[in-house]
Amino acid sequence: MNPAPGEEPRQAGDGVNLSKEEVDESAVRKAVIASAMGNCVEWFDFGVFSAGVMTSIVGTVFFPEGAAGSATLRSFALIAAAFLARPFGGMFFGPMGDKLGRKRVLAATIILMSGSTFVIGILPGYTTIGIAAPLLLLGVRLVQGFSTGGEYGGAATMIAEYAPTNRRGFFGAFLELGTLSGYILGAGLVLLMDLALSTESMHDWGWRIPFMIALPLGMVGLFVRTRIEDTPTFQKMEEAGNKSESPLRDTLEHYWRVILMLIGIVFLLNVADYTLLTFMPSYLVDYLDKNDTTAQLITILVEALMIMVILPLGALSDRIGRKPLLITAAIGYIFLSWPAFALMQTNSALGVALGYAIVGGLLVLMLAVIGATFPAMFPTKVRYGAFAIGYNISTSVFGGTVAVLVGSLIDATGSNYIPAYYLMIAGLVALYPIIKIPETAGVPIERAGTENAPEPAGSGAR
Amino acid sequence: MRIPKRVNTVLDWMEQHYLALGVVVALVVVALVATLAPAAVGLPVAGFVLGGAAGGLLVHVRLSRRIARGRADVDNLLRENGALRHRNTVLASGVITREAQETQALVAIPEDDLLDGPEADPQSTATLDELLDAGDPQTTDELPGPPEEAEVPEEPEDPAESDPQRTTVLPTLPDDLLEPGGEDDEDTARTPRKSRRA
Repeated sequence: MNPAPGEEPRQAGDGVNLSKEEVDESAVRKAVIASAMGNCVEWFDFGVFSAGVMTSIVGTVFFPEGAAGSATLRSFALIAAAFLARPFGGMFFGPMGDKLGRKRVLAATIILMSGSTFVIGILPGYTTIGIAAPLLLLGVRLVQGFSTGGEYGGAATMIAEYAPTNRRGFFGAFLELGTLSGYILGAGLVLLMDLALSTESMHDWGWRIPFMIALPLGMVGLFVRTRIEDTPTFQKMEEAGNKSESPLRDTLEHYWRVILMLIGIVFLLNVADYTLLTFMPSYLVDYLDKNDTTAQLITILVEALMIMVILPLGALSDRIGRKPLLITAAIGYIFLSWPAFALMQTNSALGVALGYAIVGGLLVLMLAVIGATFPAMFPTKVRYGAFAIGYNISTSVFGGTVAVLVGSLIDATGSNYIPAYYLMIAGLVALYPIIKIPETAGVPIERAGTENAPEPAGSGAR
Repeated sequence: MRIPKRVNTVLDWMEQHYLALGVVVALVVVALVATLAPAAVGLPVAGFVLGGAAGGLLVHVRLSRRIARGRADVDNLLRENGALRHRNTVLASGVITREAQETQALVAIPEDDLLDGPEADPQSTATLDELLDAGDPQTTDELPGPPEEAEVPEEPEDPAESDPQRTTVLPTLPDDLLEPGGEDDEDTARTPRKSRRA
């Protein structure tokens, strides 16, 4: 890390001195903004597409009248299509990022993501182009999912490799801050337009506006991503000639165990995340007889509260370690899921709020640390690819199916506690890998994930 | 009344961590209050809160120990740094050290008699040729070489001199060393020089 005697410290494109841990704070901030913007665009699209009013509009505009199934169901099918494409995106973009560099791949993914969301906003409906409308929409959703598969892994890797070792938790929390902000922006914008416009205007042209806003958001992210150099860690690995010849093969051959542990932890993350974001609004409407606007407002409010605590929790993890927060979340879901849904059944505003707060509060414990935890599970040469593959397989299988699975089971069993049982099972499954993974707070990212990784310094986790 | 040593240790520990213990007590109270709720909700919440309090105290104690170790290391390094700076200052100020005083106490070995010869060179290594009976004064071999056949009269062979194992080379003293009146007599107290007037 230190320059050799007589040698000047390496300089990055914008004059960043990369000696030892003295990475320029402004370069770190740019990297954080660049990474978080991509996540923001991804979840902006999700917030827009999964908003109640939008699912019914999209399911109507792009399909013939009298088509089989409800409009909402057709929209959910399109959401599921994006999830199906994610693992392939992870397998394509991840190893590419390990070979060519994080910056180039992230520039490509944000262009694809924001561009495909924009295209949905300008696509003609079924009445204009007929059967091509749903097919084009499906194609666009697949491209969205494919690009999203490479986005999160790269964004988290970029932040983890840029951040100073002793503040990786704090800066990593910005990634999920982008997630929450993007969802609130998307869902909030749809809600505002729905309240401001008449039903007819919203159905005719109003629904396109939120999709089209994704493009300028993406362009901002692209601009910032092109203004930074690739991560110092990747550059050092490249100069030392330690790049893997075949990152995909290396990943699947040597790190499949760690990928399985990642899948286990992300199982709980996705079940909790998508339960809160996609299932809970419809749960409140369909099973607890709340109106749509109230359900959306409660979701947005809980997410706003999560935004307020996520950065301090990330900073806390730099002091006490990542694992205490993850273990607390897992045990919390095991013991408190049932009481949370029991509180929601009380039909009182306080009960619903408390129940929601429990689910959201435990989720934010995980969200605050995953941006720093997951990249540190793998060594630099396969980090992007291994993380992208594991994360997106778990998201595709467990995240995309939560709403459909839980809704079907509630209908089949008649029990409103199905989401609680699913969360408890997910907590039990995730607890084992959470305990098994090494603590990485305070461990330099260049050595994290390797066999001879040092013990964490300065954290009370051990 | 004397406080037992163990109790005193515990009290000291509690005083050091009174803030963390205060938070634990507050959480225990919250857990107790939670038990007032219906059992389906209250008991799991109470259990979670108590578990969180225990886990938090454990993390706090570990972190405190790590910080105390780190501070002790820093103190040791500062102490060592201070001692090195003091020594550096003393040496740099030109104060003669004890070792230097001892060096000056050694008697200087006079070297003037070795430089009296016509070929004396201060840079050359002087040989103690006056101690050798014969042979090349430049040789380093201490043992005397075989005597030259033409010039050196044969002398009865002294078994001691021919012994190759002999390591000491003692000068052969002239017979009249102790007799007075020798030409080379030095004017010493034992052999007063005769006056040349006579």
